[in-house]
Order: sequence, then structure tokens, then C-alpha cells
Amino acid sequence: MRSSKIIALSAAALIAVTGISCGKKNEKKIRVYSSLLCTTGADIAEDNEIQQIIADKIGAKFVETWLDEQDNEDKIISDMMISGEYPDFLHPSSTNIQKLISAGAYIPLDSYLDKYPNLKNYFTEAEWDRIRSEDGHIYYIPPFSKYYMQDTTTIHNDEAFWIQVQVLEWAGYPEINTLDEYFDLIERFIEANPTNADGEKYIGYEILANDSYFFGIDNPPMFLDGYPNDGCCIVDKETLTALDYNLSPTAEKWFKKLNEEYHKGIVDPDFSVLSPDEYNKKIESGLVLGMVDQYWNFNNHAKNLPEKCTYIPLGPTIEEGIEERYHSKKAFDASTGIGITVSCTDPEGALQFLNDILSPEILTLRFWGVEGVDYMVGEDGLFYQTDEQAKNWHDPDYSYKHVCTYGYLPFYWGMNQDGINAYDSQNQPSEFYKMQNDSVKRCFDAYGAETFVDLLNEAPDNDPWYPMWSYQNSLPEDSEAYKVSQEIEGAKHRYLPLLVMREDFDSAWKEYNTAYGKIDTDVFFGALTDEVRRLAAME
Amino acid sequence: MHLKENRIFPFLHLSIRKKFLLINLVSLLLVILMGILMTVMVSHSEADRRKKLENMAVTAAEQHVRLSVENAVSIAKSIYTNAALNDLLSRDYSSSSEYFDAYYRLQQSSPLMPAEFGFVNGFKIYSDNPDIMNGGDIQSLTSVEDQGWYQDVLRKKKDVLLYCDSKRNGISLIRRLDYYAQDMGECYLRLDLNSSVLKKDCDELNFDGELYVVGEGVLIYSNQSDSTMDSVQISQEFTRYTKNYYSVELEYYAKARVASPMEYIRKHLFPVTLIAVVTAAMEVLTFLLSASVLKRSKKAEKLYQEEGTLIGIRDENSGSDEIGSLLRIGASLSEKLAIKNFQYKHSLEQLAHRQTDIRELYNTAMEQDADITMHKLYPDLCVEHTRHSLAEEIALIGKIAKRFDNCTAALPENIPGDKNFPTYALALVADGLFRLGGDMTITCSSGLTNIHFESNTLPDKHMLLKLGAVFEDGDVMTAYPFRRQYVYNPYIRLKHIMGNQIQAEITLSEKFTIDLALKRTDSIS
Repeated sequence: MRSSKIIALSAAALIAVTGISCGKKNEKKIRVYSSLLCTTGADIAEDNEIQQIIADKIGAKFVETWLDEQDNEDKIISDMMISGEYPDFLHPSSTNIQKLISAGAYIPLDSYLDKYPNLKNYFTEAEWDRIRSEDGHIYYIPPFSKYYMQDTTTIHNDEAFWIQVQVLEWAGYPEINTLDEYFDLIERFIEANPTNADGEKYIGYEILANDSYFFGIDNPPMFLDGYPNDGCCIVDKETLTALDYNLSPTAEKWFKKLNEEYHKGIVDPDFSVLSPDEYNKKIESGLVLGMVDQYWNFNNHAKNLPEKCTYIPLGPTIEEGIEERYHSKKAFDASTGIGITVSCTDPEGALQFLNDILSPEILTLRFWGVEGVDYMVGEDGLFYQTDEQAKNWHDPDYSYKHVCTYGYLPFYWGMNQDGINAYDSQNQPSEFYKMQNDSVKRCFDAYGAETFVDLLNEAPDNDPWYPMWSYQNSLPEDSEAYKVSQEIEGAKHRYLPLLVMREDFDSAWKEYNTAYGKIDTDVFFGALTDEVRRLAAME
Repeated sequence: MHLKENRIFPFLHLSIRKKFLLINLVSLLLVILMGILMTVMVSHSEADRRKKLENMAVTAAEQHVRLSVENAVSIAKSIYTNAALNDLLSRDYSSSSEYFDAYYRLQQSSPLMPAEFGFVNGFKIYSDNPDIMNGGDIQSLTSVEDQGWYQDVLRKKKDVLLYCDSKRNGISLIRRLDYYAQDMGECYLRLDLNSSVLKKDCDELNFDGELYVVGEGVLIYSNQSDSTMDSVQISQEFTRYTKNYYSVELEYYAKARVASPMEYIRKHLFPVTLIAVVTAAMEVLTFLLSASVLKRSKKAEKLYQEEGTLIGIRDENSGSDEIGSLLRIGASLSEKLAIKNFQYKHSLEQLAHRQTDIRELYNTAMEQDADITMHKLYPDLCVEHTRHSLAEEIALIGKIAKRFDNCTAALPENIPGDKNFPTYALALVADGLFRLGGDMTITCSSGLTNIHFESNTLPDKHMLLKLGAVFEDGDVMTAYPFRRQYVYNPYIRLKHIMGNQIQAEITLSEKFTIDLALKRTDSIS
């Protein structure tokens, strides 16, 4: 009898242990996908709340890995291609994505798309065709190119002539329509206020002209002539021809102006040798009153500045009467995107994840947060944030623990899928104005604006080929057009700073023209023209 | 021998329960002792292993650092001897555009480019040339005069030195660019060693514990997340190694993590579980074995105590082991003993019957002989029956006495008793005595009959001895000779009949006397 009791107890213990282990096995399993996003970005907590809510709903989680400031993307990508080991998802720069495709790093997605309706319907057929590689497959998904219903952008995320709000306020919010008016304002402010309150000398104008980004010095002629940001060219809509503006009269005026301002001491004398990091540090110092740059490039370095140093976008043209086209609707950038690599052991699961995060519920979680916690819903269905909710949503510590936008994965700009609200609080006009600092509110009020975008001309619909810089970024390295584009870039890098710095602008300009003239630019602009016409024909 | 066994093997006398308990305790103690010994041995070997791991970690970390430093030194050397760079730094420039032009050309030259990769993630050249623009790879020395590395350069007065930068927790290599000394003024190259590469290489050591690299109070590397110099606690337990590189001492500290007992068990789950299971099984088996033996032995003991036999032990409950065999042997022996006992009893009964028959035979023979003798001697005094009363027997003695002239017989009156006295038992004895001539007196009282005879005729000693032997022996039945008219037959018959109820006293001095005391004549069988 006593031995029977022992056996019975042992059996009970064994059943209990088995039950516990089975219980643990029955807990919901969350798929976890690794990534490398080739840009700097903000990490979120490992136990981020909204990330976990999303994971619980769709059964998957995406771990964002960003580059550090000092990381070299080219080397990192090169090492990956050598080892053949990649994270599950990879979003490289446009330079590296073609190399990765050639190295067979990505899984073709096109055969899977029919199974994932949210993903398939993210782009139109024509847009999917723009992303196809030469072999006809789709290897990546550009995440920033779609908006739903209408563009609700409140922030001008692109290129402009930026100026600190204190300068505008000092001048009484003047109308700045031309390049001369822009620099005149800066000169007057500097003359009146050569230093800040700490005695540090202001930099009237900074030029972004380094190996990473050169558009600050070479793009403005395009904008100054009222063209949108096609980057590498301007397009004649009548003849559907891609034209070179690098040697245009406006370009000459632009560089001459810079030359004048440089020699007046308005332009930073060290601009030509600044590394990207040094440029960013200048922005962070709050001493730069104005520059041409793209908001997405400098915003992270300006967000901690005093409110009076907030940068306001202006859209001057070379002369009065030209309609500026600084602001465009979201461009379809086919040059790079997020792809699923061959190292992913569960590509269908990964695609399901991408599909699921485009559902209305998840999009709202990503960009508005949790109802009742991060936003409230009015009787009219409009989302709004209380002061505390707005403050929290923009607080870096709160964001770290709670907010998960998956900002480098496909999403829709514009409207929320409910058709009532903007896709995020920052683009909800009623909420956007509330969250601005007082200096910006005064500026908005002075110019009759509610958003930064209101300060620029409303963007018309994009042309079918827009933006051409996307095509340029996707040129294969071994193509003639690419090689010529590199020669053009080389000439610009060599001469444009000199145009600004040389005492004798005219001789410098001639020298530049001579050197530029040696390049067979027709090859490049011919390829651009072909692309313009091809895309125009698709519409 | 028995005493010797007690001293050497006292275990033999302990109960089974105690024996098994002792075995259990000893085996458990053995396991515990082995466990303690193993724990001590494992602790020592773990300590040695941790020490070895620590030494390996600091050595490997030092190798990684040394590789980074040597790489940086190599890059610094190529920059140091770069003529184009020298030219750029030493020239006078009439304008910033002229400088930019020269700087741009230099940037396009490859020797400086490799510095962007691998072990070095950035370099700067600082020059006191006033014409140099402050930006990019080349900066004015005035912009860094208050920086720590420059202060170190001035203080240590070395052409090549390492600098531990507390702002980025990294190491920089500073190299004075004086290859073309007379041209370059004061000029320094600063190469920042790539902390990420060092971290990646050291992290890949997968050192299970704390590993730190510290240089001049700056935490260069830590494998613990979110470590700062203030949070690092270096104790005596750390393995330390110090190495000097270009005027800077880098300290390497490693302390392997001591695995908790639970971790050790988890790591060696299979053998620990196996030992636990085997030990538990051993204890359980020993318990079950002792219970089995005790149960069966108690059952057998109880059965024997209650019934005095093991026959009730059922074969199927005894088990098929040696204990069961013993029980079955015991039951078998009990059964055989019972059979033998039965046979013995039967034999005894048969023997008793035979004894009775023999006795009956002797009785008959003695009666027949007495009757024949009586018929021969006194045919007119014979009776038909074999028993009559004592009074009749005594009366017969009287009659016989009258046949002898030299004998008298004084007989009692009122002699009680049933007709239960064997005929001629006393009469023939009296006849024999009367033949000697003498006087007999018979008295009866309270169940006791005394016969006294005395004679002046002294019998020979042989007769006295014989008579003495007849009346001394316990049972004289087998002494009866079955020889007719043997002179001692009447005495033998009388003793046989009376058994212990007759006492005889025979004396021979001046007279021959014989006293016969008969008891319980009413209970003669």
C-alpha cells in the first residue's frame, strides 16, 4: 500500500510538470523580425507598449536597428554581401540597393503579393511597375511614397530656404519673395545682431555642400526658376525634355549671389570643408540663421533649439512673378525601399507582417497611439489630444517606452483610413497649430497660416515623372548615364564651392563652364528625357 | 565461536527493518558525501576555469586593442609620409578658394581614404597654418587648443601618443606630423579608433562576466550595458592586466560570473537529474525491498505464533525471491513435521496398544501359572473366577496355613474391598513363605494391608537378593520367566499386580522377616 502511494505521488508530479510545460507551449508565439535601416533613428524600448499591442494583435514584431552616426553604410552593406548574412528586412540607401539586388540579397516579392491584399493595394499597378527591377521582379517596397485621399502635410519636409523665426519676427514678418530679399533680410539682422545673447557670432547663411548632400548648393537654381524638386534636371512639360539647369542664367545669378554674400561674411567661410557632422553641429549650435536644406536632413539637429531658433520655410524665386514650387505632394520615390532578404527564414510571415501593419487599426495605433491614452475622439469623429497627451506624444522618454510608428515601414501619409482624420496628430491641422511654440504661432498668425505648408504655394499634382532624382538614384553603376552623372557631380563638387569663394566670380564661372562643357552631358540628360517620356506615356 | 560472532558480526542480530534503515542511511550518506565532494571539486575547478577565462578575456581584449592601435599607427604612418598632405599643410594660401582647391585635390587622392574604414572611423589633421579653413579633415589648431588630447601632447612631449577621450569613451592616436618638419609648423594628426569595431570584437569574446578596458580613467570598453566609469566597481576579484601603448596605460579587467547553483544544475541538468533519479530510485527500492521482506516475515511470524505452523503461508503471496523460497521451505517443513507428528502419534498409539496387549499377555500368563500351581498344590482350594475379594484371598491364606504344621496365620476380621483382588496373588506368596515355616500376621486398616511373616529358617542369600530385586524394581513384568512353578513367580506376580502400591521390607538377622505393605487394594487393575 505504501509503495502504491509513492507511485501515485510520482505520477501526479509527472503529470503536473507535463501540464506546466504544455501550458507554456500554448502561450501565443510572436514572430520577431530583425532589420537594418540605413539611416540614423531613435530606438524604442524592448518592451515598448504599442509595439507589444501591435504584436499581440498581428502576432509579429519588427526590431528596428538603425545606423550610428559613425557607421559606414557602404562597408556594412559590403560586409553583409561578402558573408551572405542579412537581417530579415533591409532598407539601404538608393546607392546600395541596386548592389544588393545584383548580389541576390533580396527575395522577389511579386509572386507573393496577391496573397496580401493590403500590400498589393498599397501601390497602383503603374507604381509597382516603377519599382520593378530590370529582371521584372519587385524586390523592395518604398515606404514613404503613398498618401491616402489627400496630402495633409503640415510640415514642409522637403527643400526650402529656411530662416530662423527670430529673424522674421525682428523684421516684422516681411514678405520674402526673392533671393535678394532673403539675403537682404539676413544681412540686416546680422548687422543689428551680430551675436547671440551669449556673445557667439551668428552665421548668416550656411551652405550644405558635402559628399553626402550637395543639394544645398546645386539645387536652388531649379527652385529659383519655379521648378519642383526633380533634382538632377528641370523638365520642359511641353516637349517632355529633361533640361540641364546647372549652367542656366539663374544658376549663374545664384552662385554670384552666394559669392557676394560670402565675401560680405554672411556665408560661413568654412562651408566648403564642413563634414556632414560638422554641418549638423553648426545647426545644433543655433547660430545658423539661414540655409537651403531639406527638413528631414536637419530637423533632428534643430529640434532642441530655443523656440526663437525654429526654422521657417521660405520659397523665394530668382525674381518676382515666378510661382515657386518648393512644396510638392509626396513624391513617388522608387529608388529604394524596404526589402525582405534571403536570410529571412519566414518570408511569407514577413509579408503577412507588412500586410497587417497597413490595416486601419494598426495604422491608427502606429501614428495616433491608443485611444483614451494618447488621443480622444470627439463626437464628430475627429481625433484630438489633450495638452498632456500632446506633450507626452512628443516627449522623447514617453516615445521610447510607448510609441511605435514603425516609421521606416510602409504607411500612408495624408488621411487616416477613417477618412476623417489625418494619418497622425502632427498632420491634424487642429492639433498641429496647438503644439507649436509661441514664436511659431506668432509667425503663423502674421502670415495667416496654420501650418508650415501654408507658408508656401499649394502643391499641384505631381507630374508622372516626378521626381527625377529617384530615377537618377536608381541608375545602374555600369550605365553610361550613371558614369556621366558622376562626372557632372565631380565637376560640381570641384567648382561650385570655388564659385562661391573665388574673388573673381566671372573667371571662376568661365572656368566652371569650360570644365563642365567637357562632359558629354547629353548622355545623361538624354537618359533622363527618355525616362520622362516613358513615364508620361504610362499615365 | 558464538561469542566471536557476536563481536565481529553484531549486524547479524539487528532486525531486518533496522538493517534496511541502516543501508538506506549509509547509501544516502554516501550520495551526500559524494555530492559534497563533487561540489568542492567542481567549485575548485570552476574557480580555475573562471581564472583561465578571465586571463583569456583580458589577453584577447588586449590583442584586439593592440590590433586597432597598430592599424591606426600604420595608417598614421602613411598619412605622415604623404607628400601631398605635407604640401597642403605647409603652403601659404592667398585665398580660401585656393585652399579649397588644394584641399579638394587632396581629398580625391586615395591614401587618406582608407582611414575612413575599418579600425579607424575618422581622422582630423590640425594645423597652425592660418590659411587653413576650419572644416572637414583639416582644422585649425586654435580650435582645439583647450582640448584634452592637445594638452596631453604638450605635457607628454611625445610625437606619437594615445589619448583616451572621455567624451566618446574611445581611443585616439595622435601623431605629430613633422616628417617635413621645417615646412609644416605645428601639425597633428588625430585618428579616432573605431569604438564599434573594438566593441564588436570584444563582444564576440562572449565573456560571461564583466570585462572592462580602462585608459586614464576613461571607460574604453565594457561588456555590460549602460556602464559608465562611475558605475564600474573593480574589486580584488578581478583579473588585471596593464599594458602601455604610446604613453598611455590601458588596464584590462575581467571577472567571470559565478554561476548560481541553479544555473549549474540547469547547465548539467541531465547528469544531476540522473543522479537524483538514481538516488531516489535506490531509496525507494530499498524501502520497497525492506517492506516486502518485513511484511512477509511478520506474516510468517504471526502465523507461527497463532497456529504454530507455516502451513497457512500461501505460495502466491510469498514471492519468488529467496525470502519466498525460505517461506515455502518453512511451510513445507511445517507440513512434513505435521505429517511426521501425526505418524509419530499413530505409532505411539499403536505402541501403547501393544504395551497393553503385552501387559494383558503377562497378566494372563501369570494368572494361568498361578492357577495351574494352585491346582497342583491345593486343588481343593481353587476357585473358578480370577478375582475375588481381599477377604477371600486372606481366608485362602488361612486355609493354606493350616496345611502346614509349623506355620500360623493371624488373620484380620472385617476386611473391606470389592471382588477386585486377583486370586491366588497373596496365597501363593504365603505358600512359599509357609514352606520355610514361620508365623504370618495380616492386618488391614485404612486401605492398607500389612503382611508380616517371620521364620527361624534363614533362606540363602540368593533368595534374599532375588526378593529384594523383585520388590525394588519399578516394573518386574518382563522379569517373569514363564517357567512353571518358578519359586519366585508368585512374588513377581504380586509386584506386577501391585506396582508401586506394595512395599516390601526384608530382613535377615537372627530371623528371616518379610513385611509386605499393600496400599489401595481397591484400586488394583
